[in-house]
Amino acid sequence: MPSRKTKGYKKRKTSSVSIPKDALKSVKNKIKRENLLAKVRDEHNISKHKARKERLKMEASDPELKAERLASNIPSTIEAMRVYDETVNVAAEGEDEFEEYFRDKKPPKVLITTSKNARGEAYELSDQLIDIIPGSEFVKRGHKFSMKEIAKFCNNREFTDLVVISEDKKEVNGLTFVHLPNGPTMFFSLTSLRMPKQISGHGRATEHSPELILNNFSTRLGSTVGRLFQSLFPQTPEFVGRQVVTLHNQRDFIFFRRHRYVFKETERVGLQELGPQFTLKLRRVQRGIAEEMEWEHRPDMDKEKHKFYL
Amino acid sequence: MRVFVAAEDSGSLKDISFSFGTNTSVKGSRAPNITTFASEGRSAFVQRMTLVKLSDGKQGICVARKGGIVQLYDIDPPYALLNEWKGQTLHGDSFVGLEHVNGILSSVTSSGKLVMRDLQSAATAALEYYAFIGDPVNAYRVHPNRPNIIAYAGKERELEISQITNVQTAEDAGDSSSSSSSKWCVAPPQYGPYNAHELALHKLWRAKNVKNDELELRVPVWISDIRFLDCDRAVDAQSLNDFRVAVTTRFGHIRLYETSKSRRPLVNVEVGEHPLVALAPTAKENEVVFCDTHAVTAKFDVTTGRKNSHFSGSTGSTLCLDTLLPSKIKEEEEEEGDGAAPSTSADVGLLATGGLDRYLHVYNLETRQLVGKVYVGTKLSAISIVDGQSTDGTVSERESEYEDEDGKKMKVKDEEDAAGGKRFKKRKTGGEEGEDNGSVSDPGSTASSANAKHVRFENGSEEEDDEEEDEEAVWRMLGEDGDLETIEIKADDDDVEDDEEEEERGASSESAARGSQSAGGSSRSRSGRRSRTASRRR
Repeated sequence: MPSRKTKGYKKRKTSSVSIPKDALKSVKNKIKRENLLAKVRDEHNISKHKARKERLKMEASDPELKAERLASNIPSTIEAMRVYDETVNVAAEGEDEFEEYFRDKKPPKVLITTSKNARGEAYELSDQLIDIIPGSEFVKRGHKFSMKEIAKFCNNREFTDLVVISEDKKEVNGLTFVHLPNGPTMFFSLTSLRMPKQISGHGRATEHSPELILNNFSTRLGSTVGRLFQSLFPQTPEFVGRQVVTLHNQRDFIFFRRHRYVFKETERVGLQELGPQFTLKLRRVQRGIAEEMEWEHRPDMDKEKHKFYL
Repeated sequence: MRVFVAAEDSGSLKDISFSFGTNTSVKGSRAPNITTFASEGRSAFVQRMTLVKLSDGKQGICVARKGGIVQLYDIDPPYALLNEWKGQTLHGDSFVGLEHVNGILSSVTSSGKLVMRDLQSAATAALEYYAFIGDPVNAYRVHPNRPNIIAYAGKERELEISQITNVQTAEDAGDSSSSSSSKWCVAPPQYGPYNAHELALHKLWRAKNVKNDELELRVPVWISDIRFLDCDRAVDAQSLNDFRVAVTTRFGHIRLYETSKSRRPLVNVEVGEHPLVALAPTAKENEVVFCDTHAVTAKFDVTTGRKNSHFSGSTGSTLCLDTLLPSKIKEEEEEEGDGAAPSTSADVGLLATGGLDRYLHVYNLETRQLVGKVYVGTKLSAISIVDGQSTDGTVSERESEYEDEDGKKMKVKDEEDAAGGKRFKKRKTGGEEGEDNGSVSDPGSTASSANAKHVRFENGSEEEDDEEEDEEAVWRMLGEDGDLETIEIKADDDDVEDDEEEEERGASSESAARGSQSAGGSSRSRSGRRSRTASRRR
């Protein structure tokens, strides 16, 4: 059986030796049938490898052939089959809520806290986030104040962002970002959290402000989300630290990774992962501090496999 | 059709014209014609907008911007700025109402400053009348037929209806007023140190808060929008100041007041847990359209007190609504053409919505079908429909669209002949596609009887799987006989069968009630018996 990943790809491919499954059906003895099939498969593999070798030789002599093959052989990925979206890569019109922040070049000042009654992982992740976001501080969440009140207090103390880590049953399940003073508020669900110590060969981060890579935030909504992440980090990174924070959007899942790059030789660059890793999925965007809904993920949005919102 | 929208992000106005069926989310759809003008930045975005009729019979668009600027633009390119009034608000103040009735433009700020201007007179800048109606004000409307009746309400402030007593319309004054060209004049103050331009308000009616809740706690008041309903009711001297008013609250209520009956609302329904934002009238007197902060736009029937049906499609909160009613269209046509040109407008009302999802949606008010969907690119803060006709839209255009649909149907049929049962699948996927794209349709769909069935099937495919199955059955039948008539016959048969069954059931329940233990025994008959016995016990 072809593996799940290459299923679609294999189907389209026509190899020189096809497996005669129908012919094999007429063989009644199971063991004989298995042997026959193994033999056919073996032949199929051998012919495939032969064809590849020949192709390699041909392409070595004529590089145009390779270019042609690469140009014509485009795998049909889900991203390539994306439903048409008129907002993709259209220049944003006017100003958004972040305009003032970026224009004034304010240094970010971020407050990190947890949901009420946090016990376990939330504190570990908050340690990590303090490490990741320069100019952030952690305040333990009490019982008294609501998010809106906290946002008000942060405004008084000139914070630029508020991050709330949601925890349920001792597991982190979400992150809320509030841009201050006037919103927007975004809630992401958080999955696949791996702490640095779970990542083999991880490095230790330094206190330099990192470079930021935002990948594939292409729609109008995506650009808003990108601007939010941009607003969390200082606008001028310290390149000395060689640290990179990546937020990679693929099919509306945002993958968070942190690396340090190492120049081992002149041509290639080595990467060392610093951690943590987690995956975010946008659930809702609200105007102001949790007021009118700008966008909300509904379960029926998952019905369309090829429609992406970021 | 032509719609004016106000962009919140850039503080600009946009003139959007498009033909029915435009959907920018579909690749290759007819592109709308968008013209942007009057960009003044986010710090001066348009908070309220209204269409006005100028003295020379032209139309203009009046906007109230953040920062206290009221502007009047020409409605046609090059969108000349005709007039501007500055300094209308104090710091931190915002416009909560901008209304135009019978040539009189009134604007209200959240701190309660009411300013009225007579746009019909020659010296527009000079004629400015003002009054303070107290703060805070969150909602303000003028009676659509009587410019001197105003209603306003706010946070912790009940609905009030006031009359402006020192103004006279031209009919009242008999053209003996000081400014001869003006239809409207302020009577000189009779006593007190009044400013000559101050409006005198007389409170006609004030609402009373609803009764305390089940915990005996006071219900908070925060009214977000007001609409006068049933405005064309016959007015005699006694019922001159009786009004029917609907309001929405930030606590999710819709309330209906009948001022002659009670100070408390006749209808008070909590339609959702989210704050309601805006309210708009429909062609029916007992129906309104409302929207809330969580992407719900729906009709509400004030007589039954029920939320009727949703206008689906928007993903973000709707901030502004505008309806174009068929009666209004007819009036305009009568004014313009003397029946020479064939009526080209839709027979049904239109609803335009805009908000945080950056799309303009236009719906058929009756069938709730999407007529047009346009990506604007900025959040919309105000909206008004100028013209309800399709841009290249005539009746013939609409008919041609139907021909297209019929053509599709024909094609499908042909394919069916060629390749067996494939058609059902095809038909189904077509329906799904329609759903995905928000299925844009024509507003005049209910009007044409020839295609009524076809339209009905489409509706079915959008809504429920069961109906989709029905649709398949219909198609199957079509395949057998190739005739639409069979469906009706079949449907009739079903009805007959149902009737017979019901009769049987009825008979059995009766027999059961008599106590005969013979046939029947269905659940319904049992329940019938139970209810009978219960009544006997009583």
